Amino acid sequence: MITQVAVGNVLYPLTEGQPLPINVGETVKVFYAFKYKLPETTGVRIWASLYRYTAGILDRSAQAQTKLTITLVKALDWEDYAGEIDIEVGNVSSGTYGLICELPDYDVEHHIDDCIEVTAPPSIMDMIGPLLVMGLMVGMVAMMAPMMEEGFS
Amino acid sequence: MIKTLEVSLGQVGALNLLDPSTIGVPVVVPGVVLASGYYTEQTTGQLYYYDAVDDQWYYYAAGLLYPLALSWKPSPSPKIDLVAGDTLRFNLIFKYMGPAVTRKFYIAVGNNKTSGSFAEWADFTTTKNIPIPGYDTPTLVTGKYVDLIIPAGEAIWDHHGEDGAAYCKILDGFTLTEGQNCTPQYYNVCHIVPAAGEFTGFGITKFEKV
Repeated sequence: MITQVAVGNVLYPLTEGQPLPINVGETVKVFYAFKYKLPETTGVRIWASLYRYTAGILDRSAQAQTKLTITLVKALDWEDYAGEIDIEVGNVSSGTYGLICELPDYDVEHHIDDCIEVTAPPSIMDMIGPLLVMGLMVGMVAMMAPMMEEGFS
Repeated sequence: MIKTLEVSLGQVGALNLLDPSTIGVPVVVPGVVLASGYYTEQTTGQLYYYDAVDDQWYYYAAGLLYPLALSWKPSPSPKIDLVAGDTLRFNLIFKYMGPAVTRKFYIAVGNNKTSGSFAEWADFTTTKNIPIPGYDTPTLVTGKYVDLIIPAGEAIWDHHGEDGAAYCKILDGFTLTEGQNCTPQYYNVCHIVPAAGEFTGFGITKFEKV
């Protein structure tokens, strides 16, 4: 259960509807923990990803995903393990994402819906679009101005 | 799932103590450590010598020592893959002549090797009392079996991925005689399939922007 998030040195209580703001290019550090038993020291794959739902299916974003292999030592009794994994948020579109951390070989996962708010930098069209609109409007005003002057005279 | 192993005990009957080739190996109670030296069977007065260094018993006769040991032989069945909860069924075949009796059969799985003493695995042993009808002539007895439930937990994890040996014997004797109250020690009897890991309480504890 996630109860809080840290931004810098400040901890914030985490409640639904308050996603963590992240810009594209920044990194999310995910802390995880579990208990395990293993008959021998083993490399275990762990994945962490941002995701959205596409047609109701959890769709991991390949541009915001990290895949690692951690080494778990032999443990015949329940052993605690805690680790962290960084996700570099790549070229994804702006929006709200979920966060999933999983052990794919053991069908074990924990995911949280809508907990990351990604802000992508504006594209070229995003940047020049308003200028184009403004230019168009200025142009229209310039064209209409003589007509208006003629109308007053 | 029941997985079977056919084993033969030979003939269950009286021992012939005059022939060293049929002399059994003295039974030592598990956990008891013996020192090197001579030991006498109380019933017959027969003398044995035990070499603690090599874990080797000798039969003493006419001033000579004859080494005693149960032989190692390949498994009578193809190697059997086992996981926790499986039942390893030892189907027993033996000849018997005598009055109706009930004998306590003991089976064990242990370290896989081809010589030396048998090292049993913890929780991989079991016993079963089996009634045997009376016969006037040596009669082949079939249809008897002993089931060993493969244990779960640490007992199997200590041996996951290992091959195992096995043998069967009839308890309550002072000695073990191969073919009379004990089978050979069979190697490559089973393979303990490696156990998968177990995970619980998996969760994201927190996340942050760095």
